[in-house]
Amino acid sequence: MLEMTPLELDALGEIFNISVGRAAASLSELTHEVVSMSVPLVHILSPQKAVELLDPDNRLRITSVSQQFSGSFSGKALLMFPGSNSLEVVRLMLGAEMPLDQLTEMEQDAMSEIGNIILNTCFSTIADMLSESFDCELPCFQIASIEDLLDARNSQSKVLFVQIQLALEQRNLEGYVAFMLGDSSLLNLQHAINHFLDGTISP
Amino acid sequence: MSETHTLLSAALGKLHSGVLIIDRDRHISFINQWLLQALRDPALEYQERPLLDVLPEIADTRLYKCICQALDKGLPAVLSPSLNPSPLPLFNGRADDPERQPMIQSLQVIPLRQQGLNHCMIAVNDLSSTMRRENLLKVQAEKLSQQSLTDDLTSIANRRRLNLVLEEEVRRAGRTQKPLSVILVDIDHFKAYNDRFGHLAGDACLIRVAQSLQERVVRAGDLLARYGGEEFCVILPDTDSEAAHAVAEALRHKIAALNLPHPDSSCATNVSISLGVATGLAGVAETATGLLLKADNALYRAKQRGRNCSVSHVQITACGD
Repeated sequence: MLEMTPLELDALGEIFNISVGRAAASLSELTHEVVSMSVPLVHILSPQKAVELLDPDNRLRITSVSQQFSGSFSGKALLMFPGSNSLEVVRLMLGAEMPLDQLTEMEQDAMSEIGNIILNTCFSTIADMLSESFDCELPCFQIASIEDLLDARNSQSKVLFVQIQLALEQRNLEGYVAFMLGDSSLLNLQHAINHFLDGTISP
Repeated sequence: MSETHTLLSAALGKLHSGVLIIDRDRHISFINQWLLQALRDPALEYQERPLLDVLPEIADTRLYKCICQALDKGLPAVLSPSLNPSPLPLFNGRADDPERQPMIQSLQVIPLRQQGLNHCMIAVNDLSSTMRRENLLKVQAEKLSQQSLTDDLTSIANRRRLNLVLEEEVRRAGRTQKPLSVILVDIDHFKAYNDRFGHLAGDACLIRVAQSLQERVVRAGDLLARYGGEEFCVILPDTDSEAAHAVAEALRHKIAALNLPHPDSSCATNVSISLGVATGLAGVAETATGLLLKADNALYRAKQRGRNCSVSHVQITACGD
């Protein structure tokens, strides 16, 4: 199994830190609400391990927005909110209380847009910092168990797992960004990070 | 190739959704018939013109940023109607209708980068009627949730709302270390009133009493609810026993002042009420049920003492009776 060094993980942490900062700014601008995001925590896990961490009993329904991407590393990026967090995120951002315990069609569309904004800033920051480019597909909204979302039973890929905290109107809502990468893609990502680190350490 | 071209543009021309293609230099490469008809002025020339020349209103918008992001970085975007109702200046209905309404849109901005292309496509769907339907649903759902917390007859809070609010107030009182009082109110000899005047008059009496009580329960945070048939309950946050007893007496005088004749009452000539007051003291753990039981107990004492009076639970414990 491929391991990342602490330095490489730090670099990834920095990339995602910049990403969530930009995403929070875009979301604030869009919703006219103060949106802030905490420094994200980055892990590299197997999908099985991610399931064990997030939902060992496999009972939770997770709201997700995902985008397929391809380039020198390819895979699927997901934004996930467990349980009712997605309801809160959307309703705080739309500033309207809907007395229903499920996302309506329009709210699902809004959720897709919020996910699209967050994932796009991640793609664009990775592209900028690592001088890579991607082709991305449109976002896809899905509610499913974490096991199904990460295809944990069949998948051989690794999950680059980023824990984010979204703060809205004094509420802290936890969500996750996950990048599912095959082995060769992960290796390419590692190369790109090292190239970037070489550039920053010895210019 | 040219036949395919003709075929594709004919097909796009017949679509009931919008297609707009922008090239790398932000010029319009293609605009389909549906989209053209929805624009403010369909007669203008759009093809091959700079996007911001023909649609200057979209400069500095999220849509324009998304177009640039798609062209420069290959990133697709969605714009949802709840977050951006009308990103493009599009309208419903015929172009010559002076009262055309803005179209509520769902947009997809899709990079087209295959085979040397560097374009982006904006796919537009009209969600005006979906949005209307959803707003209707929201209004209905709000009404239902409102109804499920309101008493049909008197239009004040019902027992369900009382329970929800009381639970919350008990928790709050625990946190803030402030006293919390409840008053149970019972109309004296209401059965006799109903028997003499009939149920319609009985209902009218309940409505009058509820309205009258409500006039005195107006402080923010206070709640008047219908507790049962002829029973009402008042929640008074941040109110100690003495102040709550004063409210109870004020309520009793208010109902007496209504002067609703009640010839079969043994305790007054007009409609009167008995009240039981209970207070959860600051710093003493209290439950909603415990508080209601104490108030009920005090109300029972008030009835024993001949009705048309109020009794505080603290008085019972202090006298030891």
